Amino acid sequence: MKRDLMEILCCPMCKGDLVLEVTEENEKEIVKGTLFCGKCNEYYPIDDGIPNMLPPELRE
Amino acid sequence: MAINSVNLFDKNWERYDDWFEKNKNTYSSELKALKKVIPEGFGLEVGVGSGRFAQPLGAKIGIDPSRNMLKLAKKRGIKVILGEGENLPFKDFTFDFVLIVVTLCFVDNPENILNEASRVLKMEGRLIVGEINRESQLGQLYEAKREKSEFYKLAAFYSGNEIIEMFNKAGIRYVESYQTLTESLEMEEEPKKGADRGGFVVIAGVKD
Repeated sequence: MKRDLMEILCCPMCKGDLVLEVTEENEKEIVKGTLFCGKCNEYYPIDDGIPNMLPPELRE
Repeated sequence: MAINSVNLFDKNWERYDDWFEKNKNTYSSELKALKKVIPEGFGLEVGVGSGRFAQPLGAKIGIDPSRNMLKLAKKRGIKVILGEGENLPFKDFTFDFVLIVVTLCFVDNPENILNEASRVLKMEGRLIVGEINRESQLGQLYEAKREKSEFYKLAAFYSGNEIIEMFNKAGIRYVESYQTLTESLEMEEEPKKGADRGGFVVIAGVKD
């Protein structure tokens, strides 16, 4: 995902702000990392450049 | 979205995407009807699938619960997010328009999707729904095919008026509608006003 997506993303459950942590990034985008919601104490993973914002119970 | 529908689309992503190549006239008629109501600005497609609508209609952001579909949408230049329309991961008042095409018929609770779409729209933002109209020849055909079609057996179709009624409940003011596929699927067709008899109907409303 591109970094500018952070401007519009929020937690899908509580709609609160997310904290981005990047573990892998190339010249185009963030490839791997997490988006953390402090209020829900929940991590949303970014894999293959796609953020997984499914509610925790629906995640694969 | 219903879990069964998610698995179905994730498994059959190639077949789904191929439909648009095999049904060029139908696809093109649907795009023309949608283009009538798409405004300028920053757009989201809910249930973006492989990006076949988002890309030509200029929706920059797409969300879908199928990862395999999203890989295709990403290749088509859409910024994609894995997620579901019932719980959108976007801040309030973000988009100028939200597009939902042949997606409401696959979800358990369309009202939840429309409420979330309404939340992420800016004031004066547009909600645009494209659906198969149950009260049309095509709708009846799909209803009859449900038994045999792997895709459509999980679907529940609505009439144009039922969709307008859903808009009201979600606090979206109905503005206009267009319809296409009124007669044959063989020919490309120009959209007409209304949502009473077309096989594919487009309903547009605003948040105010």
